[in-house]
Amino acid sequence: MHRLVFLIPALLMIAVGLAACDEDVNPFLESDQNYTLFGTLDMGRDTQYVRVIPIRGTLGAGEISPLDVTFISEDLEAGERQKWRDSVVTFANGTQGHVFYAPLRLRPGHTYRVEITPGNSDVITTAQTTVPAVPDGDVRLEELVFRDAFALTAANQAVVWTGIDREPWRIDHYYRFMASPNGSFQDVHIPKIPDNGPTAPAAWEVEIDLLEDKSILDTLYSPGEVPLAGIGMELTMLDLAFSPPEGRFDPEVLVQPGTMSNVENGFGFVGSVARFSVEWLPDRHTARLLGYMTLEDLYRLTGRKPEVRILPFEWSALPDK
Amino acid sequence: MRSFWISLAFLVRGPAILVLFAALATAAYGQTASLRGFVTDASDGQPLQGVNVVLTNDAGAFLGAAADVDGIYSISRIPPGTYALRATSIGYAAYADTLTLATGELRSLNIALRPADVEVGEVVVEAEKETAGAAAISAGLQTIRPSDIEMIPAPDVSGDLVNYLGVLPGVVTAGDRGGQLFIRGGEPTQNLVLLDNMLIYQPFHIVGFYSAFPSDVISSVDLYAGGFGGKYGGRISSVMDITSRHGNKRRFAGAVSAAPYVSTIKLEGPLWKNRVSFLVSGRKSVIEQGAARLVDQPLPFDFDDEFAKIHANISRNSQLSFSAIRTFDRGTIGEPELFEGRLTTDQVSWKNEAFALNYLLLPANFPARAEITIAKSSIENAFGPAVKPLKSSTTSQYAVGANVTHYAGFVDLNWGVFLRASSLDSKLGGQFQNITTELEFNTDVGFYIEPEIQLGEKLRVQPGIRIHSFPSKSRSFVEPRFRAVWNLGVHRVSAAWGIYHQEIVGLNDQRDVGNVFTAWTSSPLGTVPEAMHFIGGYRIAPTPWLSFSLEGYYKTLSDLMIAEWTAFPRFTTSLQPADGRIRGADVRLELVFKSFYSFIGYGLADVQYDARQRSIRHWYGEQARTFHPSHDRRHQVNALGVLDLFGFDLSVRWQFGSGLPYTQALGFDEFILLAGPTDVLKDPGRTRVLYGQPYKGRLPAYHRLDVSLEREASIGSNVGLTLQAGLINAYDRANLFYLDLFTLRRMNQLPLIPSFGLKLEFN
Repeated sequence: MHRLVFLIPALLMIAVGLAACDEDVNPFLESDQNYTLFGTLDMGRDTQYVRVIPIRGTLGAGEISPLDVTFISEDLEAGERQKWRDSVVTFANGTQGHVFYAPLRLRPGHTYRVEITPGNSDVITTAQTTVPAVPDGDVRLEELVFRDAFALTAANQAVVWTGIDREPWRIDHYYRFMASPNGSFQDVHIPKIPDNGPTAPAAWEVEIDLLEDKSILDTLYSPGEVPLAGIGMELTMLDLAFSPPEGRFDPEVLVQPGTMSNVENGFGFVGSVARFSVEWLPDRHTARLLGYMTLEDLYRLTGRKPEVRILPFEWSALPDK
Repeated sequence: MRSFWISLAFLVRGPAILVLFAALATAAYGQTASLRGFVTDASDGQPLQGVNVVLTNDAGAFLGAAADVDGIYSISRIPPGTYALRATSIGYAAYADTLTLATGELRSLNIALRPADVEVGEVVVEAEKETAGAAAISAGLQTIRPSDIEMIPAPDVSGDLVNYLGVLPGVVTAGDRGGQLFIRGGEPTQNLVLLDNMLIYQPFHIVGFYSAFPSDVISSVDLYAGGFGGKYGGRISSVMDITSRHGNKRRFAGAVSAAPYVSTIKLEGPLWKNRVSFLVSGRKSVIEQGAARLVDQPLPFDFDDEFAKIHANISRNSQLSFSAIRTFDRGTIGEPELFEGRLTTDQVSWKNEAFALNYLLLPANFPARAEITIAKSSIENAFGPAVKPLKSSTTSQYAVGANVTHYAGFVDLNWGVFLRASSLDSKLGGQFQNITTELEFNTDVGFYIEPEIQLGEKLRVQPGIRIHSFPSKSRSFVEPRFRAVWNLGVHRVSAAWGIYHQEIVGLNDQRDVGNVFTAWTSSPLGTVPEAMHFIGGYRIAPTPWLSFSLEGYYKTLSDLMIAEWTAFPRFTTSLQPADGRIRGADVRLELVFKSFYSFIGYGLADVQYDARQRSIRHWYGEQARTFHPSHDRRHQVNALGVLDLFGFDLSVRWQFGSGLPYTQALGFDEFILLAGPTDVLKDPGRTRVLYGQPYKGRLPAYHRLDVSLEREASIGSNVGLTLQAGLINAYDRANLFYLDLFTLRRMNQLPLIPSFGLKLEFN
């Protein structure tokens, strides 16, 4: 028993020895992932923007300091490289962030790679996106349906897009009016349009109710006194990498690091978007039946020939293929 | 629904079966005699547990029983004749008598033992419940006595149950701040805590050294770390069944104590000498005025508890007691923040209130004991700015039940019925976004049958079944249970198995260890947590001064509810279902000498959950994510040494726990939802935590040494003074309590604290 009494001092000695053990804790993992990138390269823009967020060790970003990085984009098909510039943007909520930008016109079907090379590290953060290609199909306008030669009781027109390899992210339908005699346009968008969805492999059909549109436009624009210069439809197509889990852009899911991310050695997502449009102009008789003033009416009234040219059934101006 | 009708059929037929069984048992033993009664301490009338009552005769007959927690002993199937009766217990003079029992006689004999400094040569009747000993564990069951608790160094003269629990392997505490107990991998809300048969929802005080159970009001504690029998249900981890002391029936006694943490007062005495006693106890924390100054740092914690009990010996065969308890806790969390134009700090508070009326009866006509209980328990929880809590939960339960044991020789037939009505009302302030809580009322009803069968001299088995039904939920549970103890001289082998369900769950956010706010509600995700326990143990006591035990356990868990992980740095989230399994082993070594006591315990545990959050398959490509939750303490060592030296009691306790899991992060960034073309010039994004794999990191190990020195002195014929001095965290280990990732603020457990206290007692 007397030997056992020495257990207490022995315990004390062990305890004092352990007291010197490491008691620090590092809440952060060592990682080569230094940056988060978010941005959508947009075919409809001349200048592209990507937000660059350095991964930090504090909750708040604090004071923004210049980033010692090189940001380069490369068109992998054309082999063209371009250096981007940094800017510090102050957002509406008062926070600031780095947004890199460069003048860049995207080419449909081309793959772009963006990369950030820190000045003090060899680890390059990259992301790659392929701009949706121009549909190789066509746009077909179905004929108008009249029930009566002089009074329109129904006027529907189906727009069928062929060569579509993915669901459009958005379909915009608009009416173009000549807003002033000098030839400037104003596009008025129809808020909701029926979408019949894919009607055949690689085809997309949208049916337009011209009479319904007219009643909507009457409330939005009073178009009876300005000539109709065209009817248009625009498809917004996303990079295939825009593929959220379960097909839903649920922030609770997408916020999780690594979910729907195409950034290597970092986090975030850089995608691309292409926009394709078609415009057409109904014939004078139809336009009048629908209640629109036509360009010819304007010409007759003013004696001035409009300085516009409508290109019906044609893809809108795209960057050079 | 089918299971409901099956259960209903059981509920209707069950009591009929029991009555039939009891009648048959009574008839079968009509040719023999029975002896039963209460064993008490002659000095104060307290029931004495574990007293061996033995009958012998010249023909070599040997019959015996050990007194239970209420001091009840019962010996059945006694052949008629004359016997020598002997009742013995350590610390008491033996009681001897000669009895002549006639055929069919049911004799009641109450025994009062006088305290004496004598040792008992041998233990002759082995019960599953031991009267003392940290290594005396049988299939998860350990009985704790106040004297065990008093040995643990604490910042107070009086002991507290929670300090003893912290010594046991397999029990993981949340730390010095915010008392939470994880028992063998189970979570705090999965523990059933009963005091005199009343449910205590949140029994541990906000400071880890204290619970609602000071040692000087405790008579005994049965701690089932798992594998509990059919008497208990509604929780899936463990049971702590606490029996309080009766007040002194002979004379008045009392005590007051003062220490930097709490001040206490206790008073007891006879209301009707030898028949009716009272006991009242109260404690009030003085931490902010005392300990905070000692450590020179704010300790914004406040708690108190009050307990009262009246106990009456109504007749030779029946007792009635009324117990009531109230506890209150309040603690401040975090830094002051501006709320509704005022600088305020978040605080968490809770209040337990409970009372119980217990009627204990030894029926005159057949050998049985019956206990009927009427109880009410409630808890109020609140969390949020002190001026206006954002979250609150109010829960109350009314319970009526009966527990009956028929003594039928080699079979003790235990059975019981219960009926409970609960009211649950929580306002969670959107903390868990995928559930709604509203005021609801639940009724549950059920019964259990659990015969305790002695097979031969050495093997005792306890198969049982518990039927538990929630008619308003159309849910019923059939829960088989099994316990067995095999005594082989100095060896003991034990095993337990059981299935458990928990319909009413406590919701808290395990991601935030600093916040103990818990809301009680019916299982909100439509599934009910279930557990299955397996326990196997071995114990050897080769000498009176040495005992060693080894116990392994395995638990499966299903349909748990845990907080979802989100990368948004916020306190609201959703609940996700999870399954899990727990495995581990406890090793205990106990040395008991006259002036030296030592206990060393080692616990090995491995807790694993499989989370089934919807997003997991997107992150990891798996349907479920396996991780070790934040209470998975893999290794745990506790060493306790108590030395009686020149009239001083020196107590040294060292504890070690390997690091707990936590989730490391890569850092922070902003998240911008790119659901299509997005203008990054306008969208600032939302701050995000880039966390790594959940709970993959391990915090530094926890270890601490506590020392106390105590001296008792008599300062009058009936007045005693106890002085105590000690050191908590003697080598000032900076043990981590939590690290706030958002602010990188580190909160440690308590630093080195010198403690001192004095206690004045009279009797």
